[in-house]
Amino acid sequence: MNIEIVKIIGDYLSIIFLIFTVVLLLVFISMAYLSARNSFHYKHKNSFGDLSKIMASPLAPSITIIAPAYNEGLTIVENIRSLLSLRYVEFEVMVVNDGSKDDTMEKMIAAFDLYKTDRQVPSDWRAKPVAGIYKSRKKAYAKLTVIDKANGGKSDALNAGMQLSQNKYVGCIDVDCLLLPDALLHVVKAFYQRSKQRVIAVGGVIRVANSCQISGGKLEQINLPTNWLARYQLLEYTRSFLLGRMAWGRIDSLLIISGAFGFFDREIALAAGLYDTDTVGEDMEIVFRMRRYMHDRGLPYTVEYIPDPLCWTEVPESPKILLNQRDRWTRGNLETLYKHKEMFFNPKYGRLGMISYPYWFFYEWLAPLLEFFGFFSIIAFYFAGILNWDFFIGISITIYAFMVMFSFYAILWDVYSYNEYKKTKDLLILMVCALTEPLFFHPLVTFAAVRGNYKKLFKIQSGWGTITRKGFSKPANA
Amino acid sequence: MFLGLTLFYFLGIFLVKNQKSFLQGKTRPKKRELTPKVSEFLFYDDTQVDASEKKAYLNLVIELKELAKDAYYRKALAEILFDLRSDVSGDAKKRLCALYKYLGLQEYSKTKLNSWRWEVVAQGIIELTWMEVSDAYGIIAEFLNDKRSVVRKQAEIALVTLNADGIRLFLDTTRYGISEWQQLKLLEVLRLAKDFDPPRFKNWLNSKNRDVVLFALRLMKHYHQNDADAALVSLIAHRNNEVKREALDCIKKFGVLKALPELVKQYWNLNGDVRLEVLDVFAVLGDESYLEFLQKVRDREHSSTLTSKAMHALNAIGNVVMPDLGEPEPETTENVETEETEVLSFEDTMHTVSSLMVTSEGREPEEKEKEVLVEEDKPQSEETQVPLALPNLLGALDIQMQSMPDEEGSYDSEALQENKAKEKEEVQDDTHLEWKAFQDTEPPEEAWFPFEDPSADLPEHYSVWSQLFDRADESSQWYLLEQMEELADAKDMEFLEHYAKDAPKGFAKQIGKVRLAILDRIPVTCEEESREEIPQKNNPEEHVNLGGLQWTSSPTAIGIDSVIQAKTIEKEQPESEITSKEKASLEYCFSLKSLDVEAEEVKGFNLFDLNFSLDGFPKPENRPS
Repeated sequence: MNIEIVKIIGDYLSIIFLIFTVVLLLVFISMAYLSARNSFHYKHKNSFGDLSKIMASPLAPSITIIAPAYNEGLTIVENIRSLLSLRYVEFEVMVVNDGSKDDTMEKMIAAFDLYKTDRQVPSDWRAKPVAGIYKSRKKAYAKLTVIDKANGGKSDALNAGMQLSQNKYVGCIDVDCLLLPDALLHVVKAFYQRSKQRVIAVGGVIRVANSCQISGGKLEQINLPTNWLARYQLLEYTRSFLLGRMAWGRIDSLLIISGAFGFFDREIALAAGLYDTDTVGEDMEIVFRMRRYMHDRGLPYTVEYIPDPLCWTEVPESPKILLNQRDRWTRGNLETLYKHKEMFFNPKYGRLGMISYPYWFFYEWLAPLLEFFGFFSIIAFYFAGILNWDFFIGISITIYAFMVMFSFYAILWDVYSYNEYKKTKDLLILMVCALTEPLFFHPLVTFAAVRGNYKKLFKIQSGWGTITRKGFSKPANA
Repeated sequence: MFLGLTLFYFLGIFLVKNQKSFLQGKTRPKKRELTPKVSEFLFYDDTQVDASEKKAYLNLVIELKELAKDAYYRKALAEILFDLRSDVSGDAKKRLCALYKYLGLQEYSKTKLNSWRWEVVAQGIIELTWMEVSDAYGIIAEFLNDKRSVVRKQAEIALVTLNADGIRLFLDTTRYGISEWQQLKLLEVLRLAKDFDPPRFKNWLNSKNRDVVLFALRLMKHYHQNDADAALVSLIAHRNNEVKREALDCIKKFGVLKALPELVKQYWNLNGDVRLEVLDVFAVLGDESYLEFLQKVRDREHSSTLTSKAMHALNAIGNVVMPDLGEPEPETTENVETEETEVLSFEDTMHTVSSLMVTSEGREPEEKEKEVLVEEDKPQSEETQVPLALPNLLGALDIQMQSMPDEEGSYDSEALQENKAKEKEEVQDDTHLEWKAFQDTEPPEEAWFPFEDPSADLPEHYSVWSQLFDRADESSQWYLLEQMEELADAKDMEFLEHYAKDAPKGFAKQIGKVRLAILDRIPVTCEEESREEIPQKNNPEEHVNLGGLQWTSSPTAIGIDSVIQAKTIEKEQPESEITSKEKASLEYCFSLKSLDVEAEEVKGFNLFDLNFSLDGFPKPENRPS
């Protein structure tokens, strides 16, 4: 009798999993189509013109790049030099020292000859107290502003920068990210190219810089990472940025802009209430909030996405750090979805409420949990002797083949559009990653997601965690 | 299926990779072979060579021409020329463009314009632009209102690049929005253009296309065209906030003092962002006569940003007023100095003001605060208390103002001085005109109308279309006529008449259609213009005869400033009276329409009467009640 009930439950579960999987595959196929169209369009549209000519235009808007720094003493000076070397006229680099415990501040003062200005913060200050605002005595560093403030986390530091910036647009980046010299020109273009809608935010691709050769803050040579974990992440990033976000961008439903490279219309960001300091997923949350701000007021707007490889960053090479990072992403995702739960299947928000939010709910948040519990239910069904082997093998092979196929498709687009990894050996390694990722890397990510949910459910304080940077490789002759 | 697709993608990856290197491999040797030849051609100096070198040069030219017949060589040649384009200038650039044309490569670029693929068309346009093929101007103009945005944008840039009058044509005829990026690029083209004589961009301030108005404002700012005060003032009432903001920026930059009373009048009808800009304008241009208004703003605004801005403006004006008022009292200064290092909120600041007044006079804070903040209906002598307190506020307020951009340096101080002088003169002139205007119904004899004649330096029968027609073949002319049917306006009538004389056979009907279409559009314009337009008698040559109706040659250029002139005179009239007169004026126009009065039949109708009746002149006798 009991076995019968379990069998019926098993059958129902199989149907649910089947529907879930079929919808997922359809969503991914749609994504592949949309991203392909968007990539074609973007490639043709941007094959004309010379961006650098615009640099000196009097109509070019001003941008502040905000880079929060916490215990970055080892690399801070080189990173700032790299940011200052960007090709643009009207920009300011604002480094926010978020109460570092190491010698970050001292190193900046010494390297850039900083002095404390008498500038004060606005009366309605919404961040931790500021100890000082510094400028350089040297003309060469006139674009640099350093804010020394009490520790309040990344979002608090970004909020401080946004409030003290006086420019039209603000870019929130990780200080250890490497931006290509033309990055700001691409960003300005993205902000300025619409005439009917206001572009409230611009996001871009994050590329993996592990093993790449960097010299003087410039990317000298692009190499495939030597570490397998980094390689898997490279494949994952390619899939996510070149296919996923391109597709969401095509239907103007992008709900996340990477915290490592995100630019915002400062006026809207301030009006929407700046970054939320209560979440670890602040990069996603601010996009939700800004979108809702515009949507609720019926203002025409859009969020732009730049697929050009403009921002390069190091990804974790140790499983422990990777798990912490993914655990945090899951918590951030959950917090943001919960905070904006009114959008769930809410037609008032159009595609955001009816497609984008549900996708994030079912396939970014719920899917790892279902996978995890599915795994244990298969073991339970096996021991109970009610495992439908045909269904199990069929769906497993289908999902595996689909995942591999989708990864190959992402590699194909990468080769077609940017062709960063030119060596045949590199491409073959990426293909091996695609074949083995579902077996080795994906379970790790799933486990991190479950752990993040567990921590959130039982309110286990975890915060941001730390990432130990190895630093970029130098050229052999350097 | 998925495994099959995986295999397909696997092959695709290597196919794409190899195809890229294959194409590169095929053109690279040809480019390597041709580059020195092209360089030789470009830097050939006729004066410093002997006969054998001249012969070699001629052979080289012939060889290049022959090679251009082969598709791969042609592609390589085009690529070399496009690459070199950005590296050469002066004579070398001219030679480069000449070589491009000599090799017939522009024909291949032109054929791209017929493609159904937008990226190919855009590429064709950009190639012709790069190589300065000015005879492609007419063909490219056809894409000016193309529905494919990339093609349209490339056509806009091409027009502005290839012809000095391209900017006029573009601003006159574009129907689509102009993104800020596109504006940036267009301005860059104009900036780099040699001997570019910018037209008076105020002529486009009354365009129906919001982006054209915005762009015109930005161009005016860039070229320091500060001769459109009245038009700028009228834009404060524009329905688009961005236009308002840009106009306010121009007002601030050019020091348009006459805008200030209008700003006071409009202030409470504006939205928050625009109000901020308005207060900025007062901070830069305001004087003591606006203190009362600014205090009212400070007291009534709920937003702390706006109150802060108002106080900033008060401070700025306070600094100007201060020298006449003597030194502030020492104890109040001390009080402020003690507060200076603290971050004060708006409430704190207000409290400081109150306490300062209490310290100085020993009165209750609330009572005194009222006195300081609400200055309405107070005699001038009592107002002196405000400026006395204002400099003291500075120390405290500067803390709040830190985050605000310092724009005081951004305005044109010379323009401001000039305007101040002009303002004084104009006040006198206006009085004179107004008086004179009431003497008889003739337009004033003085050239007081603020607009210059935009077409004064243009040839007879000038129209933005004329150049296109000059360059176009018959089929293109037919196409242009079709475009004119949609876009042309009254100022093109004269050109059409002129063109009809020499037009190819069979075109008369189409020309007639265009003229009818223009006439169809006129009643609507008439209704708007009749309220707004004030004629200029001293420019009779500008008038275009449209079957008896007198129109200035550029109606688009006149509307806004005329409104302001009309309004200047209106100020003397009670509001209700003006409204009724405006209505009467409009009714008159409508009644003409409803009676189906043909334009030809309205002979003797004097537009001047219509305008002057708006400003309080006697109505024409034949006006229906």
